[in-house]
Amino acid sequence: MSTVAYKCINCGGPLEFNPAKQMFSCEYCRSDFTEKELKDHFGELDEELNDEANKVDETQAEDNEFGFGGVLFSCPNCGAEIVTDETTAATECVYCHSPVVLSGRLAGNMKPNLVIPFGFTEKDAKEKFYAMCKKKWFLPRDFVSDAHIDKMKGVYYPYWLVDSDKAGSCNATGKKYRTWRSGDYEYKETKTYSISRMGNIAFHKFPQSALSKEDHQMMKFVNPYDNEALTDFSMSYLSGFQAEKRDTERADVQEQVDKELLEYSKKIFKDTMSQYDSVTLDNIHMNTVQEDWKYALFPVWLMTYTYKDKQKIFAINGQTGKTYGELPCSLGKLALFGAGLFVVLSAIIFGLGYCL
Amino acid sequence: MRNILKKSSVLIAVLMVAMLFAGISCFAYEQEAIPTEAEASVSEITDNEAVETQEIQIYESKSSEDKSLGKNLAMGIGSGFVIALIVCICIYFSYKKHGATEPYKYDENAKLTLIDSSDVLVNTHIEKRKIEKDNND
Repeated sequence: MSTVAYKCINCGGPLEFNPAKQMFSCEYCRSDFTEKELKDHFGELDEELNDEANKVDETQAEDNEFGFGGVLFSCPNCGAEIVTDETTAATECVYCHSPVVLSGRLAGNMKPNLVIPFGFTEKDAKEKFYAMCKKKWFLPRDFVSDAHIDKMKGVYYPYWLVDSDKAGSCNATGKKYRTWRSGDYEYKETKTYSISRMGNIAFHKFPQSALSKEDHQMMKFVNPYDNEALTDFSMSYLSGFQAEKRDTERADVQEQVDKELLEYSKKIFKDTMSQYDSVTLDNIHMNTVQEDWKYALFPVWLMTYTYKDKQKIFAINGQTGKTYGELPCSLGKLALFGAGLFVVLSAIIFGLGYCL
Repeated sequence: MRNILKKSSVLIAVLMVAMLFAGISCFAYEQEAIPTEAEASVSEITDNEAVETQEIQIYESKSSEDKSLGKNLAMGIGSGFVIALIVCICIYFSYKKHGATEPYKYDENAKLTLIDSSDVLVNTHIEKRKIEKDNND
């Protein structure tokens, strides 16, 4: 299978995508290149790789003969052997640290349609993480330090993006309440309505994880991304980052997508019933009129930290900076806060009860 | 340092539970003890009826005030404990699942075109209830 190392047009040094400049930079001669310049230079290479699409499956079958799930590649820069997972599409050579794109993995029907490039650098990602930590009162004091961060890497994760046009209807029961007093009596009026809605819902770019082995919760909650930044996929965006290729087909996730879109359909229909004090959805029927599936890569800064001998993974959305993961909570601080809150609340409730 | 924090959090938790029990005991005591004492005091009065009636009234109003004080204290401590505990549990789990928010902005990315909609009133129910006046008023 083919491997590619994007090299500087001027000096031959390794090229990496620079999120701060949104250009491709060479660390050695400090040259910057646009995506178009790179496309013009490496364009033929990309096309050749696409032609190889049909060969990929056969080659991969041979590669998988290692029997431990890993696959062996040769670094195009130093010739060293690189072992990767079956789904890794971009990585770096452990010996010369050159960015390597395993282009054969993203060829043919495995080639993503779209990509959102990284929006900020590793340094910015750390700053965003620390800024978030500063707002968290209950983090242990010694947690916020570089010493706890084991590793930080930029990873492109594969997602299905679904444009789905649904047609359907729903029936619900809505209630409106009114209370008033007259003399010594209190009246409570309950009006019950039978509600029905019929309409079309067009879902735009609904994301669904296309990687079965990864933490689904992480891949779900690192969303949402701003779809405005979606651009046509180019292999060069992966240079300098790790990337995973999808290991699911559309049929594998269709049921999950339908289930989630049905839940969103309920919410959307319910939003049209906001004039009621309470709404109970009786039934809903949705049919798919048209669907378009795209395969896209989304950027995530993945951080591994160790705290109290436990290793945890924390994800930062590589475009918006949204954070997701498990944070340690200081039980001492929480107990102090709880005690303070308990005293204040008890005093307020006691005071209110005594005065009124 | 870690041990001190652990010990202090355990101590605070124990104190909170102790205060909760103190509140409950206070409430229970006020419920049971005061009315019995008041009845006993009334039965001992024999001589000057006017003065005694006045004394009884003063005592009853005082014991009623004490009873209300104990009830309020117990309610304050009990509610304060429960609310503080719920808030602490919510904070703890929000740290465990930090960032688990809506992954898809459906209000921005999904568009509804309504073809038909109807809202039909099927029932009106009116409930009438006599307002109970508070004895203290």
